[in-house]
Amino acid sequence: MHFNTLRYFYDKASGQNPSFYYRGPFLERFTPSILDMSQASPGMEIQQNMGKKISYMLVECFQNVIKHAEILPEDQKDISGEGMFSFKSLNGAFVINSINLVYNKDVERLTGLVENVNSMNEADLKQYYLDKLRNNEINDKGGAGLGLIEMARKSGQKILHDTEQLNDQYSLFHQQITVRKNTSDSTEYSSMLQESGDFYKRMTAENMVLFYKGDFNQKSIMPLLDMAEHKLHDKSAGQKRTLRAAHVTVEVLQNISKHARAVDADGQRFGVFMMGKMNGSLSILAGNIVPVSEKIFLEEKLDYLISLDHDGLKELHRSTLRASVRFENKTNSGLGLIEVAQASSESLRYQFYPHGEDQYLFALQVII
Amino acid sequence: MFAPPKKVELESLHIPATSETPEVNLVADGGLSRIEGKSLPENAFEFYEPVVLWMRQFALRADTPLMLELKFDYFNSSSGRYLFEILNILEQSRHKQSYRIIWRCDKDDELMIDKGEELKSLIDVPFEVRVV
Repeated sequence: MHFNTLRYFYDKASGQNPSFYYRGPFLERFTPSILDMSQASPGMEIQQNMGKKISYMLVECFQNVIKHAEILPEDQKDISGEGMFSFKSLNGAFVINSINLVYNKDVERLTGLVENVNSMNEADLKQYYLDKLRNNEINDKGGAGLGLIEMARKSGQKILHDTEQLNDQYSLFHQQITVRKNTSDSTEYSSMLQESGDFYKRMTAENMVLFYKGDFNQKSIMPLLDMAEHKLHDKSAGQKRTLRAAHVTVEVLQNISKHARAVDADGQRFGVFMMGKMNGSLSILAGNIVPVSEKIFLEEKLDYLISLDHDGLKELHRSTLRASVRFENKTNSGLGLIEVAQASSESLRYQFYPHGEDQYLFALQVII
Repeated sequence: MFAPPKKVELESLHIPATSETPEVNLVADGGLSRIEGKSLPENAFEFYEPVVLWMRQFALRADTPLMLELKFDYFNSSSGRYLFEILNILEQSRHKQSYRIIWRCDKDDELMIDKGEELKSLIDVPFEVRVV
């Protein structure tokens, strides 16, 4: 996972705000985090009714994936079977993509279920839903298939799907739920099914686990942190590195939130965050938009931090801490970046990419 | 004739924990005070302001010892800045020899051990880093 990965995802997610991708495994405990994140975007709050509907769909969709995803046995870990869950908000629609592992023997049945739901109109779907409720059918996955019907009913759109055979035992089941924000929107969103598959391939190839692009406020940071923390728990890496990584994640996320420049009328603090594994280390890449004047300041500051060794950073932290209290500086006066540099196992790396006429996308990489 | 030191009236301060902020339990009568949990508020000033004000009042009292136990799962850099300010207030007090800070941390938590050692080296108040 390098700067060009950030650029690839950043460019591909152009026009999406927020845009979120998570590569499996799918855990029930992530449901509240996903819900919180979807509600943290100011755009969603404006469209209150829409926001509630989307939250409902997200939960249904995520739990449906949890129910149906098979877990790859240890001896087959070489195939890309973790799956992916993603959502993004575009101008005209909210799109939820999921990819999950299924047995080849189940593909026909699953495809049939989706096709059956897709063939029904609103009235048929309602009747089908009520019949299912009355008959109280529970399948071997602990569900009644109600989730799928609800997704079709609430979205009012066909459920897009595709399957991709991985080997003689497993396939990946791709699914897309589209919720149009207004009835006049006639944009085709079917290409996003393919795009989600492309993202998944790239995430797998680069061992990337999390991508978020959107508004950075405390409400969107907390669920990201919760998911990142879980991903950071790596038995082989040990508790010490996990704690260090969690600390860096907090600082990096809050740094974006503090310094991200409002780029639109909503005053959102726009940024991008991604996390992955690289040669046995953890790699965190983060970016936000900065004006030209800040570019020069940041370059100087980062080059200085990079030039310091362990003891130099320690001394700088001590003197900065003292100065912040002595001069009653209410902010943390740059302590965050120093702490990130201290926790990083390699030198910090950074890049600036032109963004519009007088702004830059500032990207920072931390290896732990 | 000098007037006797004025008794500084102070009530105990309790702030319950949230997912972003620690539990604060500051005891006015000299019992065990504690700040414990995670501390990563976006606006650390807002959260720590009542704690800083309480500590300023407490530091004026002549007759009350303080045992302050600090235990963090982790804290962000802005919280670190306010922790330092709190300890700095205690250091400036004329009664600092009756204060005792205990920094509790897990033996695997290298980061919190380092943070405790750093604060200890910056502050001239009885300070123990207790690794368990």
